[in-house]
Amino acid sequence: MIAALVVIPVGMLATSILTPRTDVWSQQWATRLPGEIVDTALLLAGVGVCSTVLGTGLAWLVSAYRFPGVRVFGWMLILPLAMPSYILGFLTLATLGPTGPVQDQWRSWFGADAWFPDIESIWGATIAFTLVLYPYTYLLARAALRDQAGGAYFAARILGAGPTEAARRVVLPLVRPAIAAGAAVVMMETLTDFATVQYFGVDTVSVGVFRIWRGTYDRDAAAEIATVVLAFALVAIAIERIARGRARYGQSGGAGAGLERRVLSGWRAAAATAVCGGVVLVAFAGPVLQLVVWAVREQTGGQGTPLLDAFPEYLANSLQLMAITVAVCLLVAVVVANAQRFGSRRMTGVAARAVAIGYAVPGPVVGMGVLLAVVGADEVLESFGLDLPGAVATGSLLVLVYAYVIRFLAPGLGAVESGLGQVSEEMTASARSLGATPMATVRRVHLPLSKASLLSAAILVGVDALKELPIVLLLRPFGFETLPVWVYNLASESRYEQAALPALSIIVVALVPVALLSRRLERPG
Amino acid sequence: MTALQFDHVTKRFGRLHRQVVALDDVTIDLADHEVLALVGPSGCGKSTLLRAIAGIHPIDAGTIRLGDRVVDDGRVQLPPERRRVGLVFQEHALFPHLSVADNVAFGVRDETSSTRAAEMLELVGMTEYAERFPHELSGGERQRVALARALAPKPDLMLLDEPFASLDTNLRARVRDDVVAILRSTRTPAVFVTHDQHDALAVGDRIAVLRAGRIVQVGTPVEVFHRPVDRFVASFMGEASYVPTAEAGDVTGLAADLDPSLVAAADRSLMLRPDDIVLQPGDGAVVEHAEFRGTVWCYTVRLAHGARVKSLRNHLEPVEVGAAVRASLRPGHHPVVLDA
Amino acid sequence: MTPRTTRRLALPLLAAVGVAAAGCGGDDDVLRVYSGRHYGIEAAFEQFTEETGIEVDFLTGNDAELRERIAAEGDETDADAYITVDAGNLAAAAADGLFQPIDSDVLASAIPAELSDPDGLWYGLTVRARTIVYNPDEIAVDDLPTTYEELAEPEWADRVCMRNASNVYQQSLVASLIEHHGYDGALEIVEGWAANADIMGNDVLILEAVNDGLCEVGVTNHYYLAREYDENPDFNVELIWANQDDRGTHVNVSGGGVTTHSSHPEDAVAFLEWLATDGQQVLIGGNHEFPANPDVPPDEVLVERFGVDFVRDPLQASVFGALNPDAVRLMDEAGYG
Repeated sequence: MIAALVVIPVGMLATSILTPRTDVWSQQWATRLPGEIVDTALLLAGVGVCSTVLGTGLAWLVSAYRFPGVRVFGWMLILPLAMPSYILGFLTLATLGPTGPVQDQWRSWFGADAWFPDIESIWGATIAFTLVLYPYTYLLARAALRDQAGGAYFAARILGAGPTEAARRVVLPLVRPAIAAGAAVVMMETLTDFATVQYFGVDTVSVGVFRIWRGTYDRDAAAEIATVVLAFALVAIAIERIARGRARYGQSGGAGAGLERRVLSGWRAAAATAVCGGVVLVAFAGPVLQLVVWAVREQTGGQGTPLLDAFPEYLANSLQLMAITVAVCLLVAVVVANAQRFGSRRMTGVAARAVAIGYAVPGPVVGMGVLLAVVGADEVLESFGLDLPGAVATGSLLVLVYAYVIRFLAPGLGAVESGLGQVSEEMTASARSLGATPMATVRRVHLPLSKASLLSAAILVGVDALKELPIVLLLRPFGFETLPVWVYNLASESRYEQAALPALSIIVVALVPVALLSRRLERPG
Repeated sequence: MTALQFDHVTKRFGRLHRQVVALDDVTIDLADHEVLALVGPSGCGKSTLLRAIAGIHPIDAGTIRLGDRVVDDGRVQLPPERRRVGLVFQEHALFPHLSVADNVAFGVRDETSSTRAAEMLELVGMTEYAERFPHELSGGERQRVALARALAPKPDLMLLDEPFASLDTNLRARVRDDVVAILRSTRTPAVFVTHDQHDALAVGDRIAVLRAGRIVQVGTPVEVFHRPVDRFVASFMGEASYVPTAEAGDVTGLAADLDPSLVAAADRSLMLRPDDIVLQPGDGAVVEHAEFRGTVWCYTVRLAHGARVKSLRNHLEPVEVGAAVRASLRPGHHPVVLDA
Repeated sequence: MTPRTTRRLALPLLAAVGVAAAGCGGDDDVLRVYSGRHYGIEAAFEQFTEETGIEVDFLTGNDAELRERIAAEGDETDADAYITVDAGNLAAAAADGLFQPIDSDVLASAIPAELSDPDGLWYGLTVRARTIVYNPDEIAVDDLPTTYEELAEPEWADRVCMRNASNVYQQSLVASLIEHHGYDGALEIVEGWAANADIMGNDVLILEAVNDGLCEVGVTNHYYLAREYDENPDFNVELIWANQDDRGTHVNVSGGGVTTHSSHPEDAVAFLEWLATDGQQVLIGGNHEFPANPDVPPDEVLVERFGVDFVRDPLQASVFGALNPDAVRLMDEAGYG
């Protein structure tokens, strides 16, 4: 049922593919599509590889070594998760772009024709995406290192492998599934973006889809090209499956022990501190500082940010939407995950995979799908004589939450599943034989045991929901403005400095769940 | 020559204000080919000691020598991979992504690795499991693979951390005997951590008892069992009853070779093992409880002054609960006197 | 399922539904506007309410998506009026049957015919000129290009900055070229641009690039430059009106219409009439667009710095609006970024 509710909206858009229009395909194939596919592939590969290397490397650094600031960096390195990529996109361009202060200074030092890397390029976009997305691989790799790698790493060391060899031959294969999962998330996020890439002049397939949709007013044609996006998503999922390999490591690496941290000293310690500090600075502190500078300048000298007095309302709306989305997502995730445990495995397994599809579909596509599905449902109801007021059909918070759940169920479900994975079948069996009903078993055994995972799921979904823009833009009710909408209204007019204050407010609010997440991560076990 | 030497080793955990001393001035030697059983309750520091030898935990003070090499002097540590020790973890820590053969071959760093792995698997009787993966094995099988893996690089010293804790009782005794036989056949010195006194008594050439980071007693199994230095060691190594020296007269023969000054002491007790006491018809004691142990019955007897002792008795000679009996010291036994 | 469990599970759901229900519906006397225009509308709407007593609720969003939303909502739509930027969006909404004809003498006389739909389905409200900007330190006035077409000549290779193909203003400029030169003629011009231009993600970047001397000339909407002057009067970029010796500078509109299924069509018409007359000043606000109503004076920056007596391309907004899809395909074909 739930799977159907998730799949139908996406499916309604996909039906147009069943009646393909060869003129659109041939026109796109003859012109831009091949280049877009190449750029998309390059961008995905670049962001995937860079995020994996950066995230895993940092996770290893803070898990395996002790150096000045390691505890602080442990949680600070997650902070970029609070930074929406569309904000980092315009910040990167404003500071490092050809007209930004960095390149101005550069030219004043080395002359007007001095070479500087082209920021408006795939490489610029790769760097920006990597900086906001690496926390996903970092988080998952750190958790895996903590839970799995400790014993195995030292077993390898004692068997004569040096640190590097032990990391390469034992730790890496063990944490590979976690890294692969992180890389898949990173690639999905990159794939579904269509706004940030445009700052960098990168022409991905998603950009093409939106150009066709918005420029030629041809939704069907856009939906057909969108299948290429879905194909990329499937490839990303396949890569994750292959990378995970036949690994089903139920066994822990030894006594749940994390890695014993080695103390770094001298230049090594300085280098480790510098690397972590550099990443935090570039991905978070620097951008935030730039926003603060702009915000102060606007409020004191410039035109000021419009609608400042409405800020509490926007904030309340954002928080309300986030809270409802988190609650519903978790509820649905727990139901789906448990249906898998109690119900017929084949059916529910397929269903559980199907609900993950929303994450691979760009937000506006989900939004359109939900719009069409809800209107369709409304018409069906009407034919039975049930006339709902129009506001219920579209533009209600209910529909908005529905779309959010479709989009963000997958990350929530993943965390919930892994949490329930810690509950053995024996525990379930003992609870049942002690007279507990399935619901009571969930409540009294599964939920307490997987509380930590549920919290992580809530946080991941919450941060995503808080930052989400395209769906809320399309489906929100009248008068329901959120913080990202506020930013969008200003940024879409290129009024970036006026958008600085609202952008800061998103980051500050997102910091709360991110801080919760870091605290959880710091606690052992 | 000594295989291992601990010289005033101290190891602390935690930060300044919440420090826990895991090893407190530990000094101990291990002779060549010797198997040392390290026992103590949970949290006494025995795993830490093992990990300090292996190089997982650097120590804060003192010196650890392996053979004639100093591997840790509190300042400079030899990395684990250069210590030539083998370590078998409680949870085995097999590499789940490698086959059994690849696990065993992991530590052999030359071209002989596959033949050496095959040899080791034969030694532990796991030849036909070579291509399996760890998750396809039972607990006992994993245990043997872990042992084979640790032995394969021909370590100078084997360290075994609660290696049998995850096995059930029947399997446990068999695997334990196998492991000891293999260690003896390869003449590998070993340190064996356990919280189970049966394992310790069975495998150790010597036993070291650890409590709160300090070594309380080192000795042969017989010494540690029969001549414990205090009630903690006595109770930890086996069932023990205590009779205050002032009441030694309640047990026939117990006061015989007791120093008369001790009879008057109020703070001393005699430690009695259940096999030290025989029950005879008579009076002065009452049978309070009987526990069937298969080959024998174990009776709990209340003495005239209220002390309780245990006594083993062949199952062919049962005694009724409530019966009046006379408790006497079995001839040839010499109970040890401990602080009360 | 124990009753307690049921309650626990039901609570969040009920809360969600309850809050959702509270978020919809509302006052039926309110005029509801979907707006693809994001800047300065709040002040305009407030003033309209003050002057007429008609309450206005509005929803900002992306033009194309708001249009899809109105279409999907059909006769249940909340929207009484749809305001958006770009004639292409207005023409697409008209083509989809989302607008009803407006019978208003006020609008017909206030807004010039070339800025409106011929059937009165929508009216332009503000005017945006897309023209050529330059850095006076980098290029002499005599050497400036005077037409869009000229920028396709090889001599402008690597000297010009332009906007990417996803942008509606660039699309509408190309659509106007199609009308004037035919598809193939326009294709040739855009191919020339693609060969010459550094393509950028937004107009502000183009202006900054020209200011920094990275490009000698650029093509942007006029009001972005006026905004730069607000922030920095010494901003080193000037503007010339393109194609003054032939058809005139390309101008696009922002405008609006009354939705087919509006529940308050009279109020919606009154709203558009007000925006086209008394509301022109406040609608334009600080955004430096030209008023569509010729009786309303443009703001001073425009008069002083740009000069407002320039020839505008008289092409019907509805005509180049309808050509927008062709323009997108043409830029695809030309390989224009």
